[in-house]
Amino acid sequence: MARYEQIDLGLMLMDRQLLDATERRCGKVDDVEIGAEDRRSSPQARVDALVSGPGTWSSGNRGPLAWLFARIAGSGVVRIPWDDVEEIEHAAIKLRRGAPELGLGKGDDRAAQWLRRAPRS
Amino acid sequence: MSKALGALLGVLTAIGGFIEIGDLVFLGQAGAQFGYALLWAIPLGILGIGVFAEMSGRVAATSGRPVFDLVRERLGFGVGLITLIAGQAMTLLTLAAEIGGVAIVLQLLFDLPNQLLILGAGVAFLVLIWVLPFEWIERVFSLPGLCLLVFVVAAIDLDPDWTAVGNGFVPNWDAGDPMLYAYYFVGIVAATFMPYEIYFYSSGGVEEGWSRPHLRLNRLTVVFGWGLGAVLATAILITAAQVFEPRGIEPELLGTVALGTQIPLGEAGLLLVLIGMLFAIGGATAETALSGAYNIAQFLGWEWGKYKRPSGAPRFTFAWMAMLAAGTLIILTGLDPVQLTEFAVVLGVVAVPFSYLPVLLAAGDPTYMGDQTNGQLQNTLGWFYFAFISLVAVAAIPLLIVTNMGQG
Repeated sequence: MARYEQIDLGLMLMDRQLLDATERRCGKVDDVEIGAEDRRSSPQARVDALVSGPGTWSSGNRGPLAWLFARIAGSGVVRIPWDDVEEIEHAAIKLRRGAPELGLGKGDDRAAQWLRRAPRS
Repeated sequence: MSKALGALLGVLTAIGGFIEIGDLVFLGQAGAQFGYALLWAIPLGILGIGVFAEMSGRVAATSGRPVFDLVRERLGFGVGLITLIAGQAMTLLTLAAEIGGVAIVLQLLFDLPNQLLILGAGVAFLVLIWVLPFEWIERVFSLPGLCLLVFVVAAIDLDPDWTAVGNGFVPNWDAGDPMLYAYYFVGIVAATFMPYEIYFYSSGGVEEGWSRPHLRLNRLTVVFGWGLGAVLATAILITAAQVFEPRGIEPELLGTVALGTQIPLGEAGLLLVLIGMLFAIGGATAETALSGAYNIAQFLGWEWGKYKRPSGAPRFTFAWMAMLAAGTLIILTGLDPVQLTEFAVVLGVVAVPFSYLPVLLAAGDPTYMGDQTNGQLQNTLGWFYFAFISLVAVAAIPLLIVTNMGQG
């Protein structure tokens, strides 16, 4: 698991590009799952997982357009356990495993099947 | 390829790719209606787009992040989505106008039916973008686009009153109807600030794997490429002012703008300028189609890039194909490309501040940029132009309505 003492959720995690173990772009961080670390003297928040997918777009205060967009795009959500985060890089968040294994990038995989039939694809 | 040759090609590509249908329409009409009195809008607009482009290129080279990656991160999903939709709508209208422009030039050259040429152009761009790698898309269109430099020869050959030309670089609100003057000022600035140009420039930096060693190329391209593009824009306006204003001609057709070179240089000048227009507008067609795909892919986190094979970035590939198909269909409905251009250029500037601000914030953030963070001059210019382009954006729609799209 990547260890970070302090993380700015807004700038370092939310809306960041996700890269799988092969450096493939495979989605954005649409939400963050927070858990409580059980330290009785000083309880602390802890990032449990990253969440990606259109199912999250209608949540929070994202506005009516985002709600409408979410209705069109569907309800798919992928939970990426924090243990699968390799590194928070400058431009993206790098994951330890491949996108198919994590359930990410399915839209690209489906679209690729159509394109592979074309010449010079 | 040697570094010097690479830099030279980059600069030449920037000059050749600088002018597109929006510049041709607004510069031609502004020169015809107000003589040299709107020349000052050109350096003002070009310095602004230069500041924006330099920052976008520097952010791309330093942090590997293109514009819509930053838009999503800095504005969040909700406001970012509004920016995306506005940006896409204007990019699509611009694309439709560019395809229409290509068809008009082809019609002038080959005298074939316009609808057939629009369809042919749509299919040709589909094949070219599919087959050509990124750097060749830029070069194939932008280098022949340098034929537009014939406007510089024409402007000098027309022997204008250089004192009057010099006076044109000073604002002069008494030059005619102030509303119309303001409309064409906004049009010239908006045409130099076309948002797709920055989407494409910044994404291109990431496509070409820019890193810190490329920062000098970024500066060279902006200063020389776009600086010389400003000379070309000035020449187009001077030619229109010399040829059309005294004769009371308003160049409402794209071909009329080209005719400005025929009077001083004959048919050879006209042919060269038509070839230049074909490739410059053609380059803008490819850039707008790809920009639409870059934007949506970067916003939603899809795999993207022309450096990959089409099936390596499949939704990105479908996105530019869809943009191209939609743009072709829009212009096939019979809309006038020149009017569509005016509409897209003036409305497009409304979307600019929303994509400018995230880049400005990122370029000024030392946690991203380290030693490449905006200095005092860059910050001052950056915030000045943010305020300036926001004012232009606020004024754009009322001026479009009040002047009836420049018809008075």
